[in-house]
Amino acid sequence: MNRRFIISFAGLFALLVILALLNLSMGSVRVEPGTILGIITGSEADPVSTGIIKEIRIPRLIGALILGGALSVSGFLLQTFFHNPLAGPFVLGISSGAKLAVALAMTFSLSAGFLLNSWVMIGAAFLGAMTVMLFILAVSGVAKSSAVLIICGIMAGYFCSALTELAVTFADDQNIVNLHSWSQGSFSGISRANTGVIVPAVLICMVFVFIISKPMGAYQLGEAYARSSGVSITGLKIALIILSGLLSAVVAAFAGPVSFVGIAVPQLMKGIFKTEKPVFMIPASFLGGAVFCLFCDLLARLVFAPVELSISVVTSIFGAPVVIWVMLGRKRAKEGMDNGR
Amino acid sequence: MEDNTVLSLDGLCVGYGKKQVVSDISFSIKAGETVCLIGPNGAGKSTILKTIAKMIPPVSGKAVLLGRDIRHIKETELARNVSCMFPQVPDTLYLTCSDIVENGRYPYTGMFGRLSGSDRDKVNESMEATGVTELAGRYFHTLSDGQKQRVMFARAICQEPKLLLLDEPASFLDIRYKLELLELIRKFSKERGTAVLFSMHEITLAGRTSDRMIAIKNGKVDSMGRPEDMLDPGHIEELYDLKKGSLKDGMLNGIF
Amino acid sequence: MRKLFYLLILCMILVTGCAQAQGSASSDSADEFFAGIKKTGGMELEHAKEFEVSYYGDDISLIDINDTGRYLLLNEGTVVPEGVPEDVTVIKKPLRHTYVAASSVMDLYRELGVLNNVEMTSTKYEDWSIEEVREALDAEDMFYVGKYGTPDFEFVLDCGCDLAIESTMIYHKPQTKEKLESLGIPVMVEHSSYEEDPLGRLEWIKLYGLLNDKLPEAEAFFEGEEKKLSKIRTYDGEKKKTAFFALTPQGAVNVKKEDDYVVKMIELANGEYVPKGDTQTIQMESFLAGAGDADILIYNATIYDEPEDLRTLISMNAGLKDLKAVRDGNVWCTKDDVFQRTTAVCDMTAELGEVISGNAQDDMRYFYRLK
Repeated sequence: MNRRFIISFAGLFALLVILALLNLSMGSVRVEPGTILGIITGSEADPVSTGIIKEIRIPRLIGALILGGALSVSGFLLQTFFHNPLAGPFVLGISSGAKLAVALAMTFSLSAGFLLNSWVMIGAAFLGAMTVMLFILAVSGVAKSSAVLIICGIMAGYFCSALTELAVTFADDQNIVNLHSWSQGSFSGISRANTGVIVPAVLICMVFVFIISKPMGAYQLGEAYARSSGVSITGLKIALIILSGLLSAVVAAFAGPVSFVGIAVPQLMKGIFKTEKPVFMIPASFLGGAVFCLFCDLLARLVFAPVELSISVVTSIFGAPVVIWVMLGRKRAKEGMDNGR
Repeated sequence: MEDNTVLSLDGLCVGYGKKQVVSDISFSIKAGETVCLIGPNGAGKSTILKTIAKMIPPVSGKAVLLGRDIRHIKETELARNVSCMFPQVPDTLYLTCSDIVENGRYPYTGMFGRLSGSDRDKVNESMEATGVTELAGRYFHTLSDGQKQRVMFARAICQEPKLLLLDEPASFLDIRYKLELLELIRKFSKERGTAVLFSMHEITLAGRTSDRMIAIKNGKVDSMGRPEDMLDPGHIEELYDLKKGSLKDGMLNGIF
Repeated sequence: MRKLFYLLILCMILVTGCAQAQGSASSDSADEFFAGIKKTGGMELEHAKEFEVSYYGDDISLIDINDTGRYLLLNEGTVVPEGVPEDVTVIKKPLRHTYVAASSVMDLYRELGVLNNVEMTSTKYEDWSIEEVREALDAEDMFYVGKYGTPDFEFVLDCGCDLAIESTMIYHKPQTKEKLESLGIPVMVEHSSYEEDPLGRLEWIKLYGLLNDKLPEAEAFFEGEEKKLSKIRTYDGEKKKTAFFALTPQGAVNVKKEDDYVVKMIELANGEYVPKGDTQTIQMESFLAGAGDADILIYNATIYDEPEDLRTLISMNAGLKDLKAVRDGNVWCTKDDVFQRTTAVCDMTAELGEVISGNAQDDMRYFYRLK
């Protein structure tokens, strides 16, 4: 099992490097590999290609990589929490909360007199996501079962969507178009300054995720067994919700809601690595999410250039069949395993 | 207090919130002793076990483990002394049997759960003792129910408990596996001197395994004693509200 | 453990909060800067209220656009002065590679004959009704670079873009504006759509004339256009109630708000705009109530649904047949996408004047009668 893990991990890492290089070297403007190298080492002087690489491609690449990893881990955390393979970061209404906050910011910014710079939108999306997350946290303290919690999350999502529609009636047409395009998600606007916040935020969260990897493993045996091992269940549940919420809030803030990564990638990784242990699944999910998003973003950028596809369109096209295939594969694998191994 | 008392309950009342389920429980268990809780369904056997395991707070009274009030023992420390088994088995897909058994070392391993050499030895020992070594690499969910519970037992013992709490551990098993498990429990308890408190509704089987039986009924401890005494037909008829005379002689010697 | 998490959340909030605090610099320093330089004059504007231009010698102009910012325009070869405040965007002439994302501005460039200075647009070929733009796209003198919110930054940078002209819609995509600026491309957010006076909107051609060294031509054009409205000004008949509307797919009615420039056009043309109100989309009943007795009805068609005759229009929404204007046969329809033809505002207003005074022909350049 260890060998399988090392080989798969190495393979995935290699794929990451390849996709990162592809994303770095491909674009609507041709930049020679030699020039790219020069830009990275600082010897290249041409402002246009330097701008393209440093201000456009590298931030976007880092954004897709880190946020993709964050989403995937967020999904894994929730799937563990709910013992349900279909749980995803945006199932609990977190993206709806972000969307509502962005809608309010867009609709009322001009009339309320504050200028909508990108940090305001990011902050709004983040706050909206966190508010819903805190609501979920509160409910989880009171809810008797996970099913109740999921339903509350879904209802919160609907509630936020309804409020968003209400806010939008006061908006003029342009705002609605913008809101729609925001809610499809995009890595295109990520700037260097953005990556300065994204990278530390996600890495800090990941440190905490690793810290709870051990109790998560115990939790997989069921709440009763986890308790008897000495795990503080309430503490773990709070941690799972907060960390999952933070990770997906960061994604929603900087890239908008990106669908399917959180649901599809952890499942795919379990199938590849053939284990569920969090201490392996956490890095595997992160890596898988990074690879998946780099791949999807490459397609989103280039397939119909200069028109850019929203990232959710691509992730859904690839993610949905993956989920279906993995679900069916699970059933077959389960039967296959039953028949002897 | 005697030296080898592992668990001592003194006027313990268990329940949920304010609602008392069983009150005024007082008994103690020594090292190496196997004690079985019997009684009608819903009497509160599970509640008692869960309270001792600190999964539910006691309503009132005292439970003392190895000389210390369990209220003052932190859960992480408790886990080094007490391990449990439940009737439902975990529902997993990609966890192997050795993953499951390794989980028993949870209270002893470091931050990421890495097993040291001695941890690994203990895991292997437990698997050998329960006869599940060949199942180590197989996925847990592919096992039969009997095998699964044996693996869960291996996990419970590699946690190195002084007290083993088993809540209907053999409920869903075929007769063969019921017997197997009980045999394991008895062997383990005698060999390692672990105190065992378990609940079971197959009372005659329980009688063969335990040193003492405690009957719970109507919210209190109904009776306590050696199996031979407790399994008197008249007594059982009363305990389980059966019609007088329905348990003919010899029936309680059978296996059901 | 729990405390650690609250600390974590606090850190995250602080990080985003601090990032927000990167506000724009105060404009106190601006007054200092401009106190040191002598203002030598300003652009004469008769109708436009949303922008101002001050001249500082022959080579430096300061453009102040209401609500969107200030822009320092420098002639070719002029050294950037020291101490320019942070909120002032520097634009250097000559501007040969302009990215015009605000589609209404394109027509002004066309009129000035400087379309060759425009290299990038955010409106697709199929959506342009201006022939010269289509020709430029065909000849690859101009390129479609994607929507204003997600332009192909690499392409834009590679073109050597020296100015991006955006409409206020870019404010809902602040990331895009910031990204363009981080690439060294000055972004000017134009505000002409906020002009209440149609002539004010047209007067913005002087600003674009200034940017492209065609100011005299712009001023001459504007004067000429103003004269076209003389007939309207001498009209002494009564004001006719006029409605200007479009239909939504859901069967509701899109009308113009009171401060819309189409409303001003109608009023300039001696019409009284109905129905009054300041919501854009209303139910058919409200429309019938407000415009039931309108003398003239003008349907705002899109490129895709210009109705041939009155019957076709009524088939789109049966409620229309009860309107007075329908019974009297005073129903008109717009041609093309009138909003792209910014320079035609005076011609359009003149035609409206004809429609209102009752002297119009059935088929004119911008409007035709539905029979």
